[in-house]
Amino acid sequence: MTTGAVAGSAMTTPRRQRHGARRFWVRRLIELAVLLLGLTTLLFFLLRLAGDPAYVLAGQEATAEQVDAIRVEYGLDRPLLLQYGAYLGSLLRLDFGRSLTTGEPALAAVLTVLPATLLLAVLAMAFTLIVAVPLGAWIGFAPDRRMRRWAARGVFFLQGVPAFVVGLLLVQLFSVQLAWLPSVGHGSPANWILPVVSLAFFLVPKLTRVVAANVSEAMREDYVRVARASGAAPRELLYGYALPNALLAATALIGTQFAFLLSGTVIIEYIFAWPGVGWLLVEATQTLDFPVIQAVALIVGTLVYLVNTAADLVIVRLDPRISGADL
Amino acid sequence: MTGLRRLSHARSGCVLLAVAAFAAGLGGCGRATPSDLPADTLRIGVTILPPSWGNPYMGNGTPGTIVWYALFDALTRIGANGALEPALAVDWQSVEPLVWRFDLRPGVRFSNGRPVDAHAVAATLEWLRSAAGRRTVIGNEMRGIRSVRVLAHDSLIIETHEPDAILPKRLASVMIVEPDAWRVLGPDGFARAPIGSGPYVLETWGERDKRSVLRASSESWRAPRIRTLVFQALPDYAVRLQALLSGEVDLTDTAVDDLPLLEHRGLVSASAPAMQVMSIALITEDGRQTPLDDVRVRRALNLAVDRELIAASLLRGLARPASQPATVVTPGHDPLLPPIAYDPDTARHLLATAGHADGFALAVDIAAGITATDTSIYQAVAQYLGDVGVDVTLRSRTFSTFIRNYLTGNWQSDAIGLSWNAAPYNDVARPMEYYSCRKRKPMFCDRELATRLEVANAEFDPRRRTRLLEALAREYRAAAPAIFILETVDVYAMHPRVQGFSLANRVPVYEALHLGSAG
Repeated sequence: MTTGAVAGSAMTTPRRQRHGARRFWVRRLIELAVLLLGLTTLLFFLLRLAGDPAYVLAGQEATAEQVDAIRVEYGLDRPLLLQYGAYLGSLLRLDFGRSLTTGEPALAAVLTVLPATLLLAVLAMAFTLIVAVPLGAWIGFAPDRRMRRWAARGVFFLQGVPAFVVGLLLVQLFSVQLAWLPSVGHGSPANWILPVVSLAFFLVPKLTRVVAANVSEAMREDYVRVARASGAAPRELLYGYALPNALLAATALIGTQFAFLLSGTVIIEYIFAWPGVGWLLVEATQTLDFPVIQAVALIVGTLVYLVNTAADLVIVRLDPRISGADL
Repeated sequence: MTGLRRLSHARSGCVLLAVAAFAAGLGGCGRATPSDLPADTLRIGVTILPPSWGNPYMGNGTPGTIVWYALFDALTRIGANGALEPALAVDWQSVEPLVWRFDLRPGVRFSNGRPVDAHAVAATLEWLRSAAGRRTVIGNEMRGIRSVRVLAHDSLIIETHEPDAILPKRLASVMIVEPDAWRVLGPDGFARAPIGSGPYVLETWGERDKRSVLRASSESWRAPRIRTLVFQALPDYAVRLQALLSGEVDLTDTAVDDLPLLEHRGLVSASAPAMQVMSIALITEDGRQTPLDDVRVRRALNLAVDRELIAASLLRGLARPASQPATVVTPGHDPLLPPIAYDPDTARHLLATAGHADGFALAVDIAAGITATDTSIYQAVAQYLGDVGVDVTLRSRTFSTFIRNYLTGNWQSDAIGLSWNAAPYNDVARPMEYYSCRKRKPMFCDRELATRLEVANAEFDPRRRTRLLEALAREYRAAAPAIFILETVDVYAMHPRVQGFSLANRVPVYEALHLGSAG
């Protein structure tokens, strides 16, 4: 299976490896900088098209003078390009501005709630792996068996069910009807279960199908046939040969799907009153709180990029056929 | 097979992590009530916590007031029946047209033990008159105050630029803050650690959990009967409802539609007038000639709507059909005015007389979703207007766009969904000003009505003022600058153990609340 690749990597000198790693990181940093600049520019101008926060802040009773004073106070009276230049300058100093509604630094507002979102995302990812990997392996090991065919159809069906529907149903059942689990907040581990399971629904069906397809394909590969002919037990065939290779593709999927998982937290946090970045983003959007929206987008964008980079590195570590220069 | 081993380790790590997390989670299962709260706790579900936290000058309505009224007092307050009541001030009188004297309640203290005296009140009002204060919502409301003078420790004089007959009402929305803390901490610092004289004291804002905890104040003259109040922010209505049903909050606002379900589940409800008349403002002052310029058309639109049926079907009869600008609890409401009849035939006749027998198109901008039923009500009205030939297009606008159009007079529609909102001090002159030439960019302008409104505002005798406002209500009904729809109501649902619930100025009366054993 990997003999050729291992031999190939053995020919790579340490110097070439170091050079490749340096190129990898330089390229990634440039990509990140371009991504953030693009994101910043797009968001800055799109948000300004969305409306004038001075009116939201001033309220229905405001006088024109009050609205003007708010514009001056927040620099909204200056030409757009000047505002943009000042904003970029501030960003270089890691100053994201102050929330228009609470007055606190926008970066601090995001960092305060970020741990809650990361907790939710990490737990959801862990739950996804716990469910999707064994289930996918089980289905993929013998996909033509009747039970597994039905399971595969069930997974296909579940992929079409939005996570928020799952969330609302779970709340109805476990919080309202049975009163077993709390439906709001994030203070205790009991609070984690329903949001985590709901959020995991973004990824479980998809990952299960990928793992099942890859395991099924791997089971038809020569190295598995050889192992089977050599007398390897079915369990060894699955966990020793087919699944490890199937998980390589799954690792790539996890990296790319992390962004979707974070976007899923917006609605899940709203449903479960989970005080994270998603909830903050909804609140900030309702009041056109530009600095907070921009801070959320930049931090989440950076996070997604870093996770994708980490996933790439994991793939490089796991698959010797791939080098950093290939990514 | 190095890669395989790595994978195996990674898999094991993930499994262990997840199992540990969920084992911990399951270990915490069982019940929703946070264990860190005493049993004598009332948990209230609110849409959001005040964005300005404990700075009570950044807004004058809910949701901010729901928390601020627990922490602070004003000189006066609007009672459960809509009438002006004493609060920190026990008496007030107009000494001269420009001069008011307020006598304070003796012995009241802030939660830090300092006295609530005339100096404290004067300090609050002086700050609101400052440049920084005038930029706040409440400071803007108080811009008519010329000076504040302390007469004695328990009385003060407030002088206004112009005669202001409703200054005591306006002062119901001015929370009095502990002046030293305000001065030392500044508005931002004070917002984090507010000190007032209300029945509760802030324990924590709970920024991370969006759950603010307040404990009973031993200093307050409004002695609370519940030891701890918790405000849990739950922005989505469905989530608040589920939290109530699952027992995670004890009290929250609710939609009329859900009352049967809540009653079936053994919960109780209460409603109170919201001091607002839901309506559709008909724009006549945008420089265009439209059918709405003709009063016969505006009257026709009012006659085309079956308010009784809307109130009965969409609001279970809790809301009253509106017949005038003021609600039944607002001074200026004329009880003798009959309901507006549902008379589509007369409506069609009036339209034909005005030259619109074939109807016309009407674009209505709304900021939908402010209440659970507002969209349904607007749609029902649109359907009724369609029955008499008026083709209504409802356009939902973001709040920002809606407010911008309203303030700038840059109307992009023929009409807008706009309530006659007498809150926060329950005075109908306030919404009448919106619907008059006195608004900077008016929607509707009738010079005669505007002049009479000025006369009413200058009348200091409450009875005579009420008569003048009642007369104005009749004139506004006749002029029909809006399609009057319903007198809106605030509806709350609660666990049966919550007792003594009432609403004053759209906020629970905290000192009256207590917890029984029901349920």
